[in-house]
Amino acid sequence: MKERQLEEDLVALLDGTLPPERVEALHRELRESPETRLRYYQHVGLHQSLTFRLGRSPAMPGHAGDDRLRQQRRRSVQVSLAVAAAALVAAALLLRTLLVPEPQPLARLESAPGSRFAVEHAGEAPDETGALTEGSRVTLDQGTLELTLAATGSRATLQAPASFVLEAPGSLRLERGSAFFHIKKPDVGFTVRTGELRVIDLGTEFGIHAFPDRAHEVHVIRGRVRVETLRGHPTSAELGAGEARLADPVGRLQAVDFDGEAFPDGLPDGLPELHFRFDRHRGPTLPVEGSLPKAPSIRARYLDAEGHPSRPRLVPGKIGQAIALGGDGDHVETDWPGLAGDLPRSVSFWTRVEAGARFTHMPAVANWGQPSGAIGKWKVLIAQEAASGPAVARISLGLIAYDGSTPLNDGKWHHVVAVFSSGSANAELPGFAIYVDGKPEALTRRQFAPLPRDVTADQPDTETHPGRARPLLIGLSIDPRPGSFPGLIDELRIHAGALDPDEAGALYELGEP
Amino acid sequence: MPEPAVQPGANAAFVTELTNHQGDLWAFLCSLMPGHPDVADVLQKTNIVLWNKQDQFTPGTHFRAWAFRIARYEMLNHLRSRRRDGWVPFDDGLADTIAEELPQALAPSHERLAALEKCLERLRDQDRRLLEHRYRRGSNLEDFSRSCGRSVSALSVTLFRLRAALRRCVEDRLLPKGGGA
Repeated sequence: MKERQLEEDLVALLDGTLPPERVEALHRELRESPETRLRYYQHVGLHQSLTFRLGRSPAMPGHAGDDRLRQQRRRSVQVSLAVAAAALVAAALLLRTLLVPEPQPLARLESAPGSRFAVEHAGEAPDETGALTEGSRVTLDQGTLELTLAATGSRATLQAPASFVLEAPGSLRLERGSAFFHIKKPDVGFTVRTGELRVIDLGTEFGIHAFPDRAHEVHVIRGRVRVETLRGHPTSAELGAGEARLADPVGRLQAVDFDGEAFPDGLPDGLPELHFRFDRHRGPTLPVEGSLPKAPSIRARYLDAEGHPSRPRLVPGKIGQAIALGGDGDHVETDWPGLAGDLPRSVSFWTRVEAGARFTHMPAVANWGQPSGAIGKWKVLIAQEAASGPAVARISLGLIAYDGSTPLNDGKWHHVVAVFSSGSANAELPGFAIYVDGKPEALTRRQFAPLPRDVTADQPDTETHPGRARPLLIGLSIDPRPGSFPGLIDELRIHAGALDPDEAGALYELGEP
Repeated sequence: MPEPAVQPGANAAFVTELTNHQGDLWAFLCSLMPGHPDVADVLQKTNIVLWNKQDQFTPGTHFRAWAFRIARYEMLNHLRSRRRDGWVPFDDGLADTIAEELPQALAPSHERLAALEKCLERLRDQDRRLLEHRYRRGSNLEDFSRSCGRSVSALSVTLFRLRAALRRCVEDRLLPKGGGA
């Protein structure tokens, strides 16, 4: 049934004006097509809203649309779905959840599956148990940690990359990272210090961003805190729920938009990730799921070669539907800036391309960063150096690339995972890895031109500044190469961390039960 | 049809739930009996049954799911007792699917209404008047056609386009929005 005809028939069905000869066909379409039913439900909702708003029916009781509540509710639903999926992954991956109740620590740590962190004590060897005592220093390279004070149950949730020192029972130094704090009454006065701010709890929940390249921020979610600047002219203020401040370079506190959603409370069931299922769309908009903070707020739109929003073509995929990019430049554009610098990351997806399909135009599956430059982008693609050569998975940073070895243009579904690992806690992993169908690939390093002097190691320095970089694009290269990815992409995930061989294998198994 | 009266000592929480879910209940019934003129009657019957069974409802539990179950039962009773010529019901399988999927697929009515308000603000005056006419005075467009000098068929096409555009606008607004992480 054609699109317009279908929409007309759905409206007519609700109005009771659908000609009898078309009723059975529409009922059949509704039985067989989940997409049609979704469209039908949308029209039902609109019909009800218009009837109540404009019709004789009594007006709805006074509900101002509370966007924040709505977004929180939708977010919780979507996160729940993601967590449910992640729970399956976690079971298969046998990832650890570390619970360390002894010996009599000041605090205990619990980590989400896939997290990698190191614990050090002043002057001592790293404590294998992870128990924290006074002076313990924790470096979180990837994932999420929850710190719980043993005496009171007050807790903090930290997102990688982060490092902190538990200086005393009531004091924590956040050297780097984003952290959420839930402080209970016995711990009123608990103090968090960053390089720029001191935040003193007055019985509350709050979040702190502390990154070396950005002004440090505090956001009060509940209760009150006292905040003081530590650089320039010392300034202090008392903040209540819904207020947020940053410390500017001269020591003033400046108001910023409150953003409580940036501070997840509690542990996710896996590495924070973005997940594009490509199972449904609303107009040009594709839903973004995942446990990465604010994932559901990320906008992903299908654009045609001229940059106009248009409806994506979703076709039967490996799991549910997959996206088939059309035209000579169709792609999915997001407003997510990507993972910056040398943070560990992985990109995983299913793909199927026609046997013998050409990939000499190096089309990206997913990429972000600086279009030109030696190591400023992160691009995962299928590459074919010559028309007669194999088309293989590739990670490209710009002038440096790593190629896999399995030809992928054979008309079959393949699962690809592209990984970069960094950080001391990831030392046991290779820097770059590509897995195809759950198995590690032999990699070939490529270098396309002499490297600048300041590039001394094979690692990304991915640029994510809005003025210098492009956000995540799917199906089209951020560098000016023509042509969309000529195949199907399904279950694309951007993981905020390096997957290990077991985790890569488990993701493959999800599609090959 | 008697109105369910609010009795002294009535459970305020129940009254609130019942009131807040009128839009969702109407949509649920409309989805299962599209184009049927008795949706409002079935809703009224459902309200009475819900009112009489309020003791069975535990505050804090899922009012929506409980109310939808009763609404579907009342709809089936109603359709069995009053057959209507020319109206084709969904078969049981499709009705089951819709009854199962719609509660998940449909955002709460107050959210949809808030989104609709924003979308209505973007309409041209003449388009908004056409919609108001359609929903305030039924689907007869002839008198509106005479007042604006456009043919009924042209108005029907415009009305369809408006509803299609509003559907897209509302759904876009119901999507979570915001900046990157």
